[in-house]
Amino acid sequence: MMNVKVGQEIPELVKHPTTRQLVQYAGAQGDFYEIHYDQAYAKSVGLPGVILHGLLKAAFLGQLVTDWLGDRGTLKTFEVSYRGIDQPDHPYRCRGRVTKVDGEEGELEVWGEDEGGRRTTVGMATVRLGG
Amino acid sequence: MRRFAEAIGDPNPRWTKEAPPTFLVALAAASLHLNDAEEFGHSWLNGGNRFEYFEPVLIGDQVTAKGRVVDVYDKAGSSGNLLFIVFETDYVNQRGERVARLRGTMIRR
Repeated sequence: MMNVKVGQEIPELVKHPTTRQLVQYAGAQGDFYEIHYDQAYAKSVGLPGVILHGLLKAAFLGQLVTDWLGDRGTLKTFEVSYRGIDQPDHPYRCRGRVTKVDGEEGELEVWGEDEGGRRTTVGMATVRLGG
Repeated sequence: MRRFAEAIGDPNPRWTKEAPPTFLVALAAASLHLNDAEEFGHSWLNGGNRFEYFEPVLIGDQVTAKGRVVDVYDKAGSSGNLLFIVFETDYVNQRGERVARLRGTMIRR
């Protein structure tokens, strides 16, 4: 792979989710679970308030990878594991690093951090460069 | 697809022709809110998702989602038992080609 080296960190992406975006995402995905837009409901199940959809955080990390990849190749697999909750009105920092390069195949670790630097979502992507 | 790209805040012009990586979750409920599982605990958590891509999904394609539950198990957590439901969804286009597979774990607590 040209210009792709193991250990290389890819350009980070910082997202600024709002409750409005959670409502927009709930509609776009069709996931109307109340913990993502109803403050009273979220608190009734022990949450500090409404929280981001795991799949919205996955979408942010997907953007991180596809922004980096551009038209140089294709995404083969993408997986995320949700380790902690995130609330709107706090920046969400998406980062990634190349962990393996083997011919045209590449592997990246990706993660999303909250303001305290905690990795609330961790994941992996594999890509094929050159088509 | 345009609304999905707007909702995730990804302005890449590529998503006017092709589906962004997590778009397929919008085609069918990825989180199978099974009535029986809702008798357990009080809330849902998403444990994780894994996408495998085989063919691009383009504007104009007709994609069919077929999901199934592949595993159900419980585990002791710090605040009581947790119920795990693992599901798998295959997405097939109008030519019968499998375009993607999604595996996910929903947790009931």
